[in-house]
Amino acid sequence: MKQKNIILFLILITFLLKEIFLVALFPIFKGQDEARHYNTIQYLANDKQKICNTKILDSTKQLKQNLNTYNFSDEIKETSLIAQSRKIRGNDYERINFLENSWDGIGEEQAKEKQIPYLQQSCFPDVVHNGNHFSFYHTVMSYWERHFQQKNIFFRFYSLRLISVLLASTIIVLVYYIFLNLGFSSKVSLILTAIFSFHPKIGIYFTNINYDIFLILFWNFNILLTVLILKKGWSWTRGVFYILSFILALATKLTALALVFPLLFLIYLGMKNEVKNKKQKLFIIWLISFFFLLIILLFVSFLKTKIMVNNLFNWSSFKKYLITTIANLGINSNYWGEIKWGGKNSYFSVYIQEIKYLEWLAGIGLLLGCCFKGKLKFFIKKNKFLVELWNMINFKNNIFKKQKKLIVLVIIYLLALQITIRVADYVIYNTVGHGALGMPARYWLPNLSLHLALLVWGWKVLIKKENYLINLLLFFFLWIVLFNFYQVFNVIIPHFYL
Amino acid sequence: MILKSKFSFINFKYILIASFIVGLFFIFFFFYYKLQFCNFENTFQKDSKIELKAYESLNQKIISSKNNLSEIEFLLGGNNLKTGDKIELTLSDSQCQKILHQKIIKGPQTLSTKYSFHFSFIPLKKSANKIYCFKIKYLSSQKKKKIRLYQNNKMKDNYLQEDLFLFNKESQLKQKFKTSLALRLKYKNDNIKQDLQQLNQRISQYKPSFLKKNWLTSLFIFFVLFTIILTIKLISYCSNEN
Repeated sequence: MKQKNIILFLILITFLLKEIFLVALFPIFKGQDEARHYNTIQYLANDKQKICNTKILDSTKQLKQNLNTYNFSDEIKETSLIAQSRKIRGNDYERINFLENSWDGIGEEQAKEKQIPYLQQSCFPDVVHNGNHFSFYHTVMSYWERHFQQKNIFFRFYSLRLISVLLASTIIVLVYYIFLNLGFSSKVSLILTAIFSFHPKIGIYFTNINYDIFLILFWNFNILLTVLILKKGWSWTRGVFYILSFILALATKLTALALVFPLLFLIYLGMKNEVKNKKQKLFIIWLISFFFLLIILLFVSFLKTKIMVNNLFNWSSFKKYLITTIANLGINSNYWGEIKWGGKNSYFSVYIQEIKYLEWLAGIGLLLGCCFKGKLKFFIKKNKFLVELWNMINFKNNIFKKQKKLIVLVIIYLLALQITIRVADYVIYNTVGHGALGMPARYWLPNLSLHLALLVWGWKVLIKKENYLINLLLFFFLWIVLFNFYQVFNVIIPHFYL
Repeated sequence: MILKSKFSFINFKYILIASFIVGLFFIFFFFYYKLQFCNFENTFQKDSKIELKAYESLNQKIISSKNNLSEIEFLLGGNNLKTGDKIELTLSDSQCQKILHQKIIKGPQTLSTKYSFHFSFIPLKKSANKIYCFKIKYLSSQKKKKIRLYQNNKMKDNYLQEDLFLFNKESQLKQKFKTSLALRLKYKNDNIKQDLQQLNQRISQYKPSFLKKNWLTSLFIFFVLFTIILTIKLISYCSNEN
């Protein structure tokens, strides 16, 4: 077995162990919207003939701390009471009442023995669905839920979390091949994959019951296929898998509409290479623009009919939204994230600030690489120091010449997702009167691999030698690993259990 | 020249591995330091707040229910401590005479959560059923500034012996409250094995059988072990120039 395969295998095993450990650490329903997603899965696993007798609860009266104020199944409500979920929701200092010298919590054994009839009260899920169509993720997971209906809720809930972890390990492999195909050496690709696998924010989301796991999986599969098509051209296999990844991502979450942008880029490049005539080229550009506009109009009309959007194109409303969004640009607005109860001034903010410096460094590299391409040398060749400095920076053989298309593709992916999130946020802002999605970077996570690639490209411009780049990446990796340990042992465990 | 560059490269590899080990040591040291358990007979219920002006202090007598009392956690209402703010925390004997531990917390707080503050000290070995005096004094550079501390009405019956006393800056009794501060006492066990066992028991509660007891212990051990192996292996492989 080759050394690099052994390391990839080690990354996978370590990732799995870390994630399963995290699955055990996070109390039931504690993940991002987990109770909502699980409720949707239960609803789909249930017999639809059972009518919901509960009054439809007013969503404005839903209290984040109290799951009983939601339209959840009786089983979820009862379990949240037994597991004392209320105590650990919404504040950072309360703990649940643990039973001393016991492996089971108060009322746990009785809850496990209690046979809740599976045809339980289950109301139409309030949030997690695309209009009237349920997400592909919920539909698939509902089969698991139905199959193990005789098992207790702790078994079913935590096994669904483990499925998320298993799916996430597939993402790790995909990410490695994305890096390789973006042109990075196997060493750089391995370090980047290891950084990805220890990423503190995505590591937590990968343990949740949430449709984002499917979205990130199909999204990264789509990235890999786009890169392969760009490098090697279309083939039947690539084409079929490409369409499949696109459809499945879209069936999972509407965010995947953003994947239209890179698809348009692929079509444009394909046609550009085939068509030599200038007039025909212009016609193709017009055709793609028309296609693009049509999709946007379809999307808007869909939103108008489904959500009753008012003032969608109102300038003053848009201005208000813009001001609110910019005001909320804070510590959450990055790919690295924080745990809020980690403390406002804790190591979390320090770590994010430090990573920002590394990101700026990459940004400078990207700008220099894009703008100058060796032209400046003429102006500085009289000054020895500047010439030395210039030679240190690897402009002439920069990556931008070789991988121009790939870099454009990465930027398209990053921008497309941002635009989609902002449009969705603006629509919700118009519907409910305040920004419901805001700026949290969890929506950015499907593009994390590409963000990492962009960082390395930026650093590569400034760092001439591959060895130095590897050293920087190893340092970055070490930092992320240690931060991960800090997060698990000094923040998460004390927060829930001490 | 080649030898020199190779030498510096090897050095960097060892520097990375050494930093990793040192980092891990600190993380696990703090983990061990934080490994103390509170009684959950009382929740951290927030009732009304008591105002504490500059150089005023609050005295609260507490009863330790177990041995190895090692921390008092209390709630500060409103905002975090600001720059220039200081709180002097003192733990003394039942007569509030002999000081056992003292600590000054300066604002802004860096390693605390927003509301709860941790007064940790070396465990008091034979603390079971003993009465201690806990004092909080607000030291501020500005006279008009004040902090607010949460009270908890339900807590008193369980492990707080007497009422809460507020003293002015001349250390004269200013006010007596029939309630107690919202606080929590934390204890260590006799050894680290017992601490880890208790932690395992807590994490195991409300979990399915495949994430409990020995499974959890194995996960913890293998996660740490494999991370160390991966880190060393990755650094060694990537530092190799061939």
